[in-house]
Amino acid sequence: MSLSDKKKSKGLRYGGAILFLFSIPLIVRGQYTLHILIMAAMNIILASSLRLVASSGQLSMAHGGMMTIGAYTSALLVMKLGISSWAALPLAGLAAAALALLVGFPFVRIKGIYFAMVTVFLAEMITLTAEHWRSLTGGSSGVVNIPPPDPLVIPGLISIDFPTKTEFYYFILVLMLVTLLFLYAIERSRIGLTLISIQQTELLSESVGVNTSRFKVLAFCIGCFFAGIVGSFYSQYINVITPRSFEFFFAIYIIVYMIVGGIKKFSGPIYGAFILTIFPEFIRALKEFQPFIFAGLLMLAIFFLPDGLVDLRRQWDKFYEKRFNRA
Amino acid sequence: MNKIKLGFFVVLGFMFVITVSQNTYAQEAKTLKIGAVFALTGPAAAGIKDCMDGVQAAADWINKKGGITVKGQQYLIEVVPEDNKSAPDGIVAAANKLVYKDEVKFIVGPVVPGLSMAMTPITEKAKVLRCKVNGTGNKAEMKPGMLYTFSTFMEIQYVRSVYDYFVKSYPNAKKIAITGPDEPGGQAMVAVAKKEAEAHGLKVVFSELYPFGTQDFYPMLTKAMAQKPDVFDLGVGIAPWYAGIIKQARELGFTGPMFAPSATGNIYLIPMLAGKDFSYDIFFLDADLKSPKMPSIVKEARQQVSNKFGVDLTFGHGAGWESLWCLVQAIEAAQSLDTIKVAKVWEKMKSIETLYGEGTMSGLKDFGINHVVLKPRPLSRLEKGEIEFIKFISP
Amino acid sequence: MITQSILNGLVLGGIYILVALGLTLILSIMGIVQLAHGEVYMLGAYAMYYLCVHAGLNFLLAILISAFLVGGLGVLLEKYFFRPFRGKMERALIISIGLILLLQNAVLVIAGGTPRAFASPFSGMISVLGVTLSLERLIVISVAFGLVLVLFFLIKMTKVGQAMVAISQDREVAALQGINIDRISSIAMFLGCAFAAVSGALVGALFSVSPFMGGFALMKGIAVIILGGMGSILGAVLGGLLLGLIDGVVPVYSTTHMAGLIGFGFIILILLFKPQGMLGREFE
Repeated sequence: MSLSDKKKSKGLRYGGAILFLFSIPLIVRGQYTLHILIMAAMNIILASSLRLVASSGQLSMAHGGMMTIGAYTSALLVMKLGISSWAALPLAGLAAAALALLVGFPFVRIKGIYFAMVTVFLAEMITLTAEHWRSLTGGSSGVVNIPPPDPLVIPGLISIDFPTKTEFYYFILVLMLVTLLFLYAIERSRIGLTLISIQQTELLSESVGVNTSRFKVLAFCIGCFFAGIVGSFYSQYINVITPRSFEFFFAIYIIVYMIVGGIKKFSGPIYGAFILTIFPEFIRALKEFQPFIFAGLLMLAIFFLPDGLVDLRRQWDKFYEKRFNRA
Repeated sequence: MNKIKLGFFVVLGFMFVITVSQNTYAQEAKTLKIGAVFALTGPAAAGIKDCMDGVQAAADWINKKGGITVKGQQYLIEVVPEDNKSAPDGIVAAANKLVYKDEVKFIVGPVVPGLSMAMTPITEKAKVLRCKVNGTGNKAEMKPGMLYTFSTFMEIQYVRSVYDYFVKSYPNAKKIAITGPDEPGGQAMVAVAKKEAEAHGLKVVFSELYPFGTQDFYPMLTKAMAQKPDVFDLGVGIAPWYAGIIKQARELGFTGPMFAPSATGNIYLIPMLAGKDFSYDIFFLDADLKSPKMPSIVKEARQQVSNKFGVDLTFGHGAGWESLWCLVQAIEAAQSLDTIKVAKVWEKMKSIETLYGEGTMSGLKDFGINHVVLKPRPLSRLEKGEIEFIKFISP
Repeated sequence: MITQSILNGLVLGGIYILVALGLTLILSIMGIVQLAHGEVYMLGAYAMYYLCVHAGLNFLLAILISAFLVGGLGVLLEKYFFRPFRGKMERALIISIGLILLLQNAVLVIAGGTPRAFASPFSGMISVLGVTLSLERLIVISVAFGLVLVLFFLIKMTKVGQAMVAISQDREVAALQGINIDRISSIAMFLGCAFAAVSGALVGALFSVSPFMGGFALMKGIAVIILGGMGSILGAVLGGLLLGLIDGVVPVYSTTHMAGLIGFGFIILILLFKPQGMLGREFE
């Protein structure tokens, strides 16, 4: 196979996959399945955007907090100022990115575990502010009756309403594909390469004149932008948000998706978020025993797949070969 | 002649087949799936798992008595239990599964107001009739337009009666401190309690919401005690919070009465957690369910729960039990499984049986919608660590 | 009111120090974020509940036994769960999340969700100059400072302690000097978990015991050691007292939310000027 053929087949595969994703609502009638897929797509955006932050060597636990910022910004803009939800969506992302920019420069001076913990405290402060500032946010009662997205009208052509999960599925699917494309482009660009070099040898990068903190802040801002966007989507989809909708453990789970999926490859967080979002739905019948299975899965993955679930195939081949040779 | 005979036999045979098939049809009970959503894992699971067991016990009890009969057709209840994982996204997933995968038309649960709020848009949209367990009365929990959401009770409706009892029993009390947890329910309760306290001639010298999950109440109590209140209203909450406030207030030297116009979830825990010496001059809308003064139906429920789960009936079991029982009564009153019809009949029901006596439908005045069961509730005192039943109050 | 609230703050500080001591030991020597430390603390409290209430043991004896049991569990956790991931923050994080899920739900299934309580033998109040303090709380502060002294002595005076300092400064150099890192990690984990058990016992007696009590301990413990500086005992003391005072005094003049905001804001501010906490060293 020549190189261009390979490229072609790769393109064909991706095209096929995207076509399949778009045709799912035609095959799957169940609204419940669609809901799970919507959640999976949401988590894929979150985990993938978090990976961008992590690729500069910083583990952010503020993604939940940034979703809170995005969700409140969009809900309050739509409900109090009557802005169109389609304008509120990017504004929510920008609000989160602005906060990330504000705290970014001082934060990136803090390294390792300290950085992770500072982001935990930031998220906690966001929650506390939302609870404290009752006149604006409604306090711990949160915001209810958040309207679904405004109808998407292309004059003279179509008008798309959001009455069922199918429309939301297409909404998040487009959002997810755009996000992934964007993140992939960044990874392949000079920024992505710089980030990786920062992660590997920060001192060296600094000595050859790379302004590392500027790149780290940039990664943090972009990551948080997408968290804000997802927060806005979540508020329009679920219709209710409270200061504790995206608590500490919510942020932790995004990290789990990213690491268990595999942080080294671009596809890692995608697999991780997808598998770990749909897996709990299969063990629902176990009720209070669900966490045991889930915890077991996490630990098995960490022990046996150091490079994450994406590495399963290669590890399995290795294991199989060993057995086969021995036999 | 032959033809007539043949025709006669054919008709007879046909009729026979119809009667037989109808008979077996009528005898063979169908199953009615009813979803139950409670926290089985996560922080809210502590204590709330009892509600799920209570629903299961009530289903067995109803099935044993013949299930639900709608227009001559017998239905046995099959409870579909779901875990809400104590989190908004957990309950949204559970609700979607119940509504769209199991295709249940009726759901009971949950308890926590914040989780209930997250679920309401889904059940309302799908026209699924839901009976939530308890509630405090936040505007977001129950309001006009929530056509398919009902509740077994709302705490704020009982605040006035409890204050009536208080001012009658403690005519010398003048200054009151009001607290509650900072969550949707706690907020609603403190707002109503403030109004009622003033209407009953008490001066509210302190009112504050403590964060969800507070353990150390010393800072808040120090601030409250500086105002020298005669009495504490503990608002809404769960046993560990009440017990924490009681123990720590007593340690800081408060000897006056304390009360909450709501249930504790498990009143036996209060003296256990706060210490017997500190559990005096306290009253709650709760009861020792083992007391001989409880109605016979409570005894039946106790029997049922201890047979099935080997434990003693708690308030949590009872709350779960009532949610299913009230829902079943509404279905039977409507003689229909159509949720629109059931909802229409339910909101007009004048009499509905509960564990503590006959109740009625209410809520039009407080919530703008007649979707709340109003029923007698037991008022009990804690004295020297013992629980004493006082009386049933109904607003 | 102000003296009482300062006293409340000191007691809270004592609680925070108790929780933070074990955590700072584990963090600095293992180089991991042990998020399940709160669950170890919870297990200590449950061990006390079973030993005191069900087995009817004496309170002090029960504390000793539960500290040894939970410390032993810590050794097992170190050997089978954390040893392969020493110094690998991300993967150890996932292991500790798995442990949180396992331990919380094991206790929820076995002991039930109902909160439990056990009484400490120290009942009674001390009232001086209009300020009140329960004996129980006095014990908490005393034990906190007692343990600080024990740990301080251990680190300054013993060979194991010196080895711990060496490891926390540079693991590779320490290994080159012939320090048995596995053994020292084991000891650190034993001590850290035993301390957690003791604090679980004392704080559990003060409040109540439930499968989810660990979350509070974890958040405060981490806040204290990040503020104080990882691996620094004096830092933990200073950080604990400062956060305790903030949480004890601010709510009296404002709200509890404000106390949280000021506390976390203060930590972030300190870190901006001293990225390793008040008394911490650089950590890789």
